[in-house]
Amino acid sequence: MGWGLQKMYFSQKSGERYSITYALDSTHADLLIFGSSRASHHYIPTVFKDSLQLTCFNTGKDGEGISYNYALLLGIVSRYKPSYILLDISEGSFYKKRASPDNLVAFMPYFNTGHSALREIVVKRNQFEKLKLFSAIYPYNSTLISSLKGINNNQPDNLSGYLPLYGHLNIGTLPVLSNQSKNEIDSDKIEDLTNFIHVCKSYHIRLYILQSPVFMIESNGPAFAVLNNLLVNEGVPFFNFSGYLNTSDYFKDAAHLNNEGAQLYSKMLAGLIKNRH
Amino acid sequence: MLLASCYFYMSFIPVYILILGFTIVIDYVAGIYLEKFSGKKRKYFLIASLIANIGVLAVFKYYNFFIDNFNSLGSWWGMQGNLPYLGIILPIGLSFHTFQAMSYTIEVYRGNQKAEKHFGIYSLYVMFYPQLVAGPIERPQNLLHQFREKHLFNYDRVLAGLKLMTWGLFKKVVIADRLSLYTDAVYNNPSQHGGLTIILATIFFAFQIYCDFSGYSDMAIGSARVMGFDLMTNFKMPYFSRSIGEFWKRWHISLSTWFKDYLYIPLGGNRVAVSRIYFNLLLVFMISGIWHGANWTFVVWGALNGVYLVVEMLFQKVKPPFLNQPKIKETGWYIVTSTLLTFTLTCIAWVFFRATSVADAGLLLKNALQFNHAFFSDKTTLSYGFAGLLFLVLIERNMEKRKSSLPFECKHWWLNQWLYISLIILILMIGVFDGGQFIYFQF
Repeated sequence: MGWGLQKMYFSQKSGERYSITYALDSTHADLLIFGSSRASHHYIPTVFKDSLQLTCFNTGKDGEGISYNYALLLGIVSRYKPSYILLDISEGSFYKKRASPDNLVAFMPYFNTGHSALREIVVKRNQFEKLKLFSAIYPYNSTLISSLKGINNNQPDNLSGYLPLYGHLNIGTLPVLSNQSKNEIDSDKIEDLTNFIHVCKSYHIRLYILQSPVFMIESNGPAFAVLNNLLVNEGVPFFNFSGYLNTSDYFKDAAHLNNEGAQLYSKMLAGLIKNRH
Repeated sequence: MLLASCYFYMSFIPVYILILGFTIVIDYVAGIYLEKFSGKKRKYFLIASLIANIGVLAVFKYYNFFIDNFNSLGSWWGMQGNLPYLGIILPIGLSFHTFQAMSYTIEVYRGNQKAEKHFGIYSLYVMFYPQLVAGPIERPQNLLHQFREKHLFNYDRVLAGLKLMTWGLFKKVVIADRLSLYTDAVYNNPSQHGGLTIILATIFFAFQIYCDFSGYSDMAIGSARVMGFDLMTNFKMPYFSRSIGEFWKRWHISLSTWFKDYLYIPLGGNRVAVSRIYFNLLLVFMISGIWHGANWTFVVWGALNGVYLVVEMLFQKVKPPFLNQPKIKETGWYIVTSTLLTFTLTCIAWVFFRATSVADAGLLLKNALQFNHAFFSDKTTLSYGFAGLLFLVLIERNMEKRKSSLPFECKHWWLNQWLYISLIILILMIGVFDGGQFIYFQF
């Protein structure tokens, strides 16, 4: 059964899981984009490609944070060295949460396909992972539906990982925001960000850390100061665009730009990077 | 076995074993003296034991809650309410441990149970690791004697225990933890969701908490069975109940019967005036609510269930006689309507149980009636969640008919084993392994 699930998993031609496989095993893009759903919905690779004359791939994944991105980076640099990385972060993701959004188990299918560095990270996080990995089925846990969808979709992924959102923000449904300052900063995530920066430095990859636009949410909690200090100390360029495009027309919801907003944001950012180099 | 239980408990916060040690010594000594003395002295020993147990609970579980409310009340009256909080983590399963300990001293006091002279056996009774942290809350008459008996290896018992553990694990990781992905996303952001999303999240939570808790109970009962011990049944397919009264006879049976035996009946039970019965019911359910956690949400949850029961009793008196006819009660429409109504009422109460504050619960109930929010569609979770729920309902319907605690009992040996192997494969394939804790561990 494990063999069958493996075959199905690696036969996908589109979708989120396919993007992970492509990022780990195939891409040779000059510029890689890392982050959560805000990365996958905000950064359009074709815009960067046209403006910077660099090949580009967006590895952003819904619901994932810095721990996922750090693990993915390790998996990628073990194969090739990209020239540029844009890492999208949001201050809110650096607080401790009841359920960690980082889904490192997303990397389990790759343990037996030459990505031992990923295995070490995942196994370190949970003492029982080693035991569960005796099963050939477990690495493909919860992949059945996405595999079936990815296999049946004959349309190849030509957006290079970008997932456009359509429609506009309904201001009437805006959330009442909780006070982040009550939450504790997650030191593991700060450590993962530090490690991410160090890996980029050791491979001489030009790293830009960005906070992409959000609608009427201020990023001024205690984690913001910690992040700012860290990035200043590490000498990494940090651009906070959280207040950019603050019009509901460009947003799908409070945390995500729609396709129109993503186009404007990507063009602006590509211009900025072009001017710096 | 006692050493294993100590190791099990100490793997959380080792020093907390001293808290259990404190109550164990007091209850063990109290038990011996309760048997030795007669008259008023016995009462003093019982009171000492109850104070020790409730005192431990009050300090570790309720102190900060009382201080919080006291400070808030002080501020409300214009005083500076700044009494200090205790910076402690609630010892895991403390409520279960203290209730099981209290059932021992009360039963010895009542003369239904002989005092246990062997300190190790008594300690094991209140620390038996399969049920130490989340029940079932055992009675001394059922469990203590089993620790004195010889338990030889019994293949059938071991197999039955493993099967029950597998079913419990399936309910926990395939259903409960999957549904929690949806309920957590909604209940942790109550202002962002409305209408159908909140209704669905609440239905999901009803099944999440059932599969989480009954899954743990199955694993506890199953693992005890593997070792040769019989623990009491804790759940009997509660969502097939046709009334709130029936629901409470099927849900968390070990706690419901504890409150009935040690609180409701001593308060007068059904032998007092009707108005007093109603009052007692409300009181017992409110105490049952606060037993679950130091938060007003649990008090409201308990009170709401008490109100449901009182209304149900009142309705029994005024409902048309034809509704009491056995023929009517067995018709399809009666069964479906009463089951759905009971489930709906239970779900409304679960909103308070799951919400982080009474204000959040109010907001969720209000928003549940507003359908202008977008539906939160997490397709993967919804697909696996609905498939799991359908499977659960079909299997439990069959278990209800067979009056069995095991999901599969086929005549063909090979088919039976294959079905359990399929459960294990499903656990590995679609279970959620994010280390999600059991909900009732916090109580």
